[in-house]
Amino acid sequence: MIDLHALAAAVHLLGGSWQPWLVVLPGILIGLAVHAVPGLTTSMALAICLPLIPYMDFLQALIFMTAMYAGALFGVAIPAILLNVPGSAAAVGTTFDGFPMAQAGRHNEALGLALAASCVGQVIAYLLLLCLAQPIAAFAIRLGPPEMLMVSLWGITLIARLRGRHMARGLLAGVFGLLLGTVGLSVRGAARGTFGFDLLLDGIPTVPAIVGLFAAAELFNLVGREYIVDDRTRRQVNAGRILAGMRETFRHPGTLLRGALLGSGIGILPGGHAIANLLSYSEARRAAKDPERFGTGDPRGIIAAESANASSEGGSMATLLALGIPTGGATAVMLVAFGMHNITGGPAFMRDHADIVYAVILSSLAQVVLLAAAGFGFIFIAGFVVKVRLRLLVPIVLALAVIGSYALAQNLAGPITLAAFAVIGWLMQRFDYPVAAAVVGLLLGRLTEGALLRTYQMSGGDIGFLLTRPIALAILLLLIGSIALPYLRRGRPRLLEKRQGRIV
Amino acid sequence: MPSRPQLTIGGRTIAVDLPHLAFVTAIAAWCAWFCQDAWRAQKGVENLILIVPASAMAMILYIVVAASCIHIVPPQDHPPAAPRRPLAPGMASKIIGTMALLAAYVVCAPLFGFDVASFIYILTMLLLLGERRILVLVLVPALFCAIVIYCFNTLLATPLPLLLFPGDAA
Amino acid sequence: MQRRQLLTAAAALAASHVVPAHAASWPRRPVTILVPFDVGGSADRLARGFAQYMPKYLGQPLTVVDRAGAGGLIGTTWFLQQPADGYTVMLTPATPFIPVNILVTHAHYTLDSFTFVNAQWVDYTILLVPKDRPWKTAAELIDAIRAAPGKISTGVDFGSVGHITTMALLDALGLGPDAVRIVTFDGAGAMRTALAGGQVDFNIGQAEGAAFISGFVRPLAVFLDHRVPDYDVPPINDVLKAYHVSVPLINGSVRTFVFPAAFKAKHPDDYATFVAAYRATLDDPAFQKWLHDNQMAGDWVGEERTAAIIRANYDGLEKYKNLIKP
Repeated sequence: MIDLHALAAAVHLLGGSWQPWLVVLPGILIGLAVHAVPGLTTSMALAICLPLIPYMDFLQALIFMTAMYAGALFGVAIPAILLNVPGSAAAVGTTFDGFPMAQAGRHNEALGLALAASCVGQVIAYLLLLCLAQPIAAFAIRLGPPEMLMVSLWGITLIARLRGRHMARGLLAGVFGLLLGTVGLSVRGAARGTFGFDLLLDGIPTVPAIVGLFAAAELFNLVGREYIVDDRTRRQVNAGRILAGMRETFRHPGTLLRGALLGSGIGILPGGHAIANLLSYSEARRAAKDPERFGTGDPRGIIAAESANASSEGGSMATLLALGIPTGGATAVMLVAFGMHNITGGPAFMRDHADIVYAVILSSLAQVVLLAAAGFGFIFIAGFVVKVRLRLLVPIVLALAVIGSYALAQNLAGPITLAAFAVIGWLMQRFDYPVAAAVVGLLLGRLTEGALLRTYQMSGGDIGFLLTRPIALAILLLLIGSIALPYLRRGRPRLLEKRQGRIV
Repeated sequence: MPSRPQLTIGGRTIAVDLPHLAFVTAIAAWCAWFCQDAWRAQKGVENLILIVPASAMAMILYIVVAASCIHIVPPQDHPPAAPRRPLAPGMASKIIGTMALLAAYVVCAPLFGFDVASFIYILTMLLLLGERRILVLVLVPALFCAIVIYCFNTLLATPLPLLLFPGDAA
Repeated sequence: MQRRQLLTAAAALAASHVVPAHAASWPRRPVTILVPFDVGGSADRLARGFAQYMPKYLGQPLTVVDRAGAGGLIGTTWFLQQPADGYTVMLTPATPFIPVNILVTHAHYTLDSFTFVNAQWVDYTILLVPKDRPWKTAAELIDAIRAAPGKISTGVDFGSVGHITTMALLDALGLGPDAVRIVTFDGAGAMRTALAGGQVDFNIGQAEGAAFISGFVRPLAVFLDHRVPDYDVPPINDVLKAYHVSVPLINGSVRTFVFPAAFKAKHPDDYATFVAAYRATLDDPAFQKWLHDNQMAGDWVGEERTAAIIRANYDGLEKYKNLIKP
């Protein structure tokens, strides 16, 4: 479990000098600042951070990067709540209940909720990591395409939950999103749906598409309104209310814990980080006795999404630290820090540098306090956005989004996607199609296709293959169980009562 | 212009929600085209394993939704309620204007430089949305361009094509 | 663009009157190193090493710009759209990616569009199996495949040298592509993780990447014509002697600086300046230490040999492209 010797060495490393701590606040601030601006992405934050790493020693570099990601994880929630523009795919779940709360004038509480949930999620994830790094990693490595497939299917069921008032339209939106997610070069080198455009070979760029679908569509709608929050008396930034929101988080321990544990688990899977918040939201909604309240500004929605998002980082850290294998963007970049200091990852890393591993974990736990403080200050400033007239906000946000999406890849794929999906998103909203379902489909498209394809390839076409994958079967059974349970428990007559939506 | 034209066939009146029908047909058409394009790129299970079932599902859903766009109007009924909230007067032109400006901005910015294009875009949007204070109309776009473009070019080292300011960008 | 060139020309003209003659030669402003892959990858890290050590010899700073996408296609296409004045140089694992771009993904360029400066860091391919699999030699694995065709699985990074080599090996042994279950991955990292986890039975891939997962895998053979000290396994063609066949040995990941062919043609002096500065950097003991610490190589093989290596790889891919193309 915990290597006490290494733990003691870690405490000594951290307590002995102020040097490692020097980089924490800058890291958090960079992560927060970059991700709080709609349209800016992690690669831009990295562009700022990477040139600084050669000047740091190894421990500092790792702490700097984890601090940056800690800030990033929360930063993306800020525009998600205030503007309905998720800073990245990881904040999509936060928009579902965050923006309605903002519109109702409860933006202070919403931001406070998100901050507290994010902090708690990180704490839980790192505590798990501290105690269970080795077992988590050993388990993680046994998860392969079949397991990923089951998790993707689970994500797809979220589409059905987000169906809005019309079932068929919701499902169509989701399937449409799924297909859009598979545009581009297949793993076998076949170009699908690209019209011959090289720029589409990598698929439709997700961040501009999401921003377009969510933001532009919503912003177009608000063109007739004056402010995000109609009621003038509620259009304030209030520290007390932010704190109230933070306290509110702790009144839903079940949702909080479930989100954090789920996020940690899903974060282990490659690609899991982006969808952890969605799956957590879906589960929170399923488990609730009053699911209709989700989507209208229910605090539990924010808590579920943010805690899972924050904790999914801990999951992918486990595979990096214990195994030296990166599972995604964040951990791949940390390997750069490894490389710059002549250290190989790998299982030997945990063995030979256990004190550094523990030092990183401990400092991440301590970072949460700084995050809460810095985040609070940030929210306070960011909250003033609601005081700005929409007629100023709309063009600024749109222009920022366009510039950001261009700067992403230095080509027009981003901006064109943004504009195109803005129109599609508006039309979808007009005709009552849930945009969220399409977004979930888009995010899951590649992931699901890859998992499905590889499972098929591994099995050689033999369905019996799945019987050799107990973990995948377990997830599948859990999934079926979680869908079927409400029906079995409540019995048929009450079920018909609950079905308020129309079919079409 | 009624969005639900009515035909009379036989003795029955049928109302068609045309805009919605057009929209959902467009989506279904894309799905069908995409499936066909993928099929042509590589006819194999490995390429189509998700695309074909998803497209088939899309077709089924399309039929269901399209059918819902067509209603038989019972006789002696008042015209049925509109399927959607009608747009507030003047909104339609604002929304179309916003979309058109966004499209123009996206096309022109790399061509004419982000600085000039952003300035003009924000200025025109402000005018469209009803801003009339000269100070705001001039200061806001100018400040935006100055701050944002400085940040992107210098801080984030992501070169943007600019017209008026030197840069290494392509 | 024109306007900027005019301004720059005017400025240069003005400057050249007050600045000593030698400063008026190339390069007069920072040089961009374009890496057509993601930040953090091996090419990107190597480029950043150059950005640290080369300015001393070149006389100007170097900035690294990453443009990933479509296996290097996006970045390479952008690179060729830049003026061929030497201010943009590309650092990339030229093979297998450029041949794959051309032969499989239908890029609009050809090998002749480029000048490949020096194959500085070349990797080789290695055959690995997860530790918990029973085969202790390459021969055992081959026999197992023959005994149960279609049952054993291999992970491949589509279009990589490992992929080509896998198909070439099967082909040489007279086994069709259905003899093994081919599981395609979106990149070498994902594939290595799967291999480490035992999701697939074997993999032929980049040796330097294998270092990350060395604790989880067992090497069985190297695709070289000699043994290497890092892995005590036979060269593949030694193993294949028992089957009376052999496979072509294709280099992996040949990292080199690349210029558009027009640059050397139109500005041969500037090209020579770059090469001189580059060689000086390679000779710098501090840089060599940096390379060593980062487990990268800094060999000098020269332009001709480099072109030959890349040509050989291209021909190898062309021969087997039908086996890997959709």
